[in-house]
Amino acid sequence: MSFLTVGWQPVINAGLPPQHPGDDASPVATVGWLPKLGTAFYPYPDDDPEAEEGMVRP
Amino acid sequence: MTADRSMPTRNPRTTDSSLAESAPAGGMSRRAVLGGAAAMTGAVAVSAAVATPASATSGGAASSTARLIAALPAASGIKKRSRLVDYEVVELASLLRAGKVTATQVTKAYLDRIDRFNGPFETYGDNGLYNAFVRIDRAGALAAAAAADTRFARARHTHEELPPLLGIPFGIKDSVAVKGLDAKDGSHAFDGNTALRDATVVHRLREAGAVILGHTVASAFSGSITGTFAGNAWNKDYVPGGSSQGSGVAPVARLAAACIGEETGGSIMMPSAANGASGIKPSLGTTSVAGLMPLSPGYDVLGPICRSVRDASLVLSIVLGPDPANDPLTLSAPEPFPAMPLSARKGRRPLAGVTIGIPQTDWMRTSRGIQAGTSPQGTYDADHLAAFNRLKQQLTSLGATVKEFPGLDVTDPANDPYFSSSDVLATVDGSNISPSSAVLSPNRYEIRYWDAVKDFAATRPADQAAALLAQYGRKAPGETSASFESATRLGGMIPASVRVEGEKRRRQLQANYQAALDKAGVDFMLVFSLGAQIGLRTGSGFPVYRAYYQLPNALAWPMVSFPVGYDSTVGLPIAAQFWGPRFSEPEIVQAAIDYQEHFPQYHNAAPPDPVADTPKVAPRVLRSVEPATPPELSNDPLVAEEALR
Repeated sequence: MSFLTVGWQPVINAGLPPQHPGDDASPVATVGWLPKLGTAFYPYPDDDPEAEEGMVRP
Repeated sequence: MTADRSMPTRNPRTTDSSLAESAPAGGMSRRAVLGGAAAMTGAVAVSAAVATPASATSGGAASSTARLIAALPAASGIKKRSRLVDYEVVELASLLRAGKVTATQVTKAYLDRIDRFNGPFETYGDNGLYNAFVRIDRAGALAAAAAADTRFARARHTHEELPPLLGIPFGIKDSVAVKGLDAKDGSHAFDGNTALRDATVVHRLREAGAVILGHTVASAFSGSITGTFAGNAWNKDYVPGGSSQGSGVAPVARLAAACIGEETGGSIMMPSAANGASGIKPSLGTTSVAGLMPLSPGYDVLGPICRSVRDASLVLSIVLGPDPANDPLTLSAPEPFPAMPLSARKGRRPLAGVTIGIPQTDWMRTSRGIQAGTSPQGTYDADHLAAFNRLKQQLTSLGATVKEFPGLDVTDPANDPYFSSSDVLATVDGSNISPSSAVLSPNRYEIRYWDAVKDFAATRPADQAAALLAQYGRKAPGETSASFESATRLGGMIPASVRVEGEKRRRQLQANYQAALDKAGVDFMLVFSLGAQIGLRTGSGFPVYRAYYQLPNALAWPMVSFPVGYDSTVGLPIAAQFWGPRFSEPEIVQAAIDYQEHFPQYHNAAPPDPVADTPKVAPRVLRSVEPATPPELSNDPLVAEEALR
């Protein structure tokens, strides 16, 4: 079936609310809906856009 | 969304360098793609913080901007149109670049027509005229136009690359955050819902130079797919289609060059069809919905409504793309997204090799209910049937193979275990959970659907709070009154296993429909969302329409609507839609662009200006005194499914 575009891969942190270094508590409008849906966007423990190049994570 | 977000801990140089390293490369791994997407978030956030042009923030953006610019028609070859407001977006973009017109002239031309033909603002009801715009930001639009003209003037010396939509006036649906304006989603119950930032889509439009005119009127709570607030672009006595009512009317009525609509279950397609606009409902995940007032997260998509499909395709290419931190669903789309077509293919038979299927089980609904067993075309009125037959010939003449095929009969629960099954997956807090509720209710819970409204309602006057409670509250069995807490409890108590079962059934429906296409060798489908002349605003809306108009949303598949004729009595538009598998936007949009290139008489037609009644301001109504939308005309999947059982 071709309805899946991206092949399945194991997700790390599945079940946790969306986690991203850019996450921000301030709402987009006065009604404070979170504009997010889904499990962790950030599925790979080493993909930290804030990390310096070549930095080794603990 | 990302506008105004301060990112004190992020080092722009680091982000840019990591982006640069992830940008080139053939044969990128999924990991690299995701890494690139993550870096992109940082880049966009930084660009918003320091207000650098979008083209400077992304390795891919410069080349994609160049591709968009290169696809614009040459200014010298643009056929003269009778009014400035008649030019398509791609033509305006070219004329602006060539210095033939200024952004201020264009913006003032649209504002002038809004002054003459829109009628009073802030009116959720008949305002005596088009009522496409519910509020405008005149000063902001003129300032943006003046800034665009400054950039055009400077670029004549510096030859810098300018973004494609620089100086193009847009309308944005009332449910989408435009910084500084209240977003009310079709009801004064949301008075005071001031947007603190731009939605991602609006942010990307602004980065591409767009002039935001204001908010276009929406059905109350984006609920109805017919609508009565705006007047149809071709005759304001007729329904405009909803829920993105004003976004369907404004481009065709020449009150905006282009608009953004939102669809959950028909809300881009119906206004596009009813007004003869060219609109694209993207696949789920193609565009970010961050900053949208949600109706059903997991279905909601934002897309363009314009006068031509190539305009809509240009706008979609600007707003699509990953927005991982704000809308993780955008990570389900291919990145980079396949290039959207911006011009017709050469040759007399551009559709050669394309097989377009007409699903014979895509039942229509008439006043006698769902016409299961009768082919869609068997329900069309004479004008629609004539246009349908003519369209088949036209597509065939362009080289396409057009054939009827069974499609998937979604009234059979074996085919559609998601919508059409009467299975109760669980009983939670006294309520039976249908498969689609098992998907949508937890989705709503996850984004604080009810809590956010409850917090807001607590800050508002009593009548407003009551209207919000009437719309969003729930009364559980045994409870004496509706409450937000009850709704939140239901959404939060649906077990993960039940949610997974609902998702599984949704995917089974998707797989079954894909199999039906594959079995028949069909690339994409042709349908008419509306099969007969639409009704008066004082009447019941659509006499004949696709009963399963929500199906593309459940499937997460894209759809493009374009006009193919006008009826012989009132002159209202007749429209067709192509829809195909998820992320087939480039294919269905290309076919529609090819059609409009060879048969331009339909999308180029302009309606007569309305005769101005006495403009009137409707009383400030809240939901409690409005007639309810019948469930079979609801944009809300959980409401609409009541009518499908």
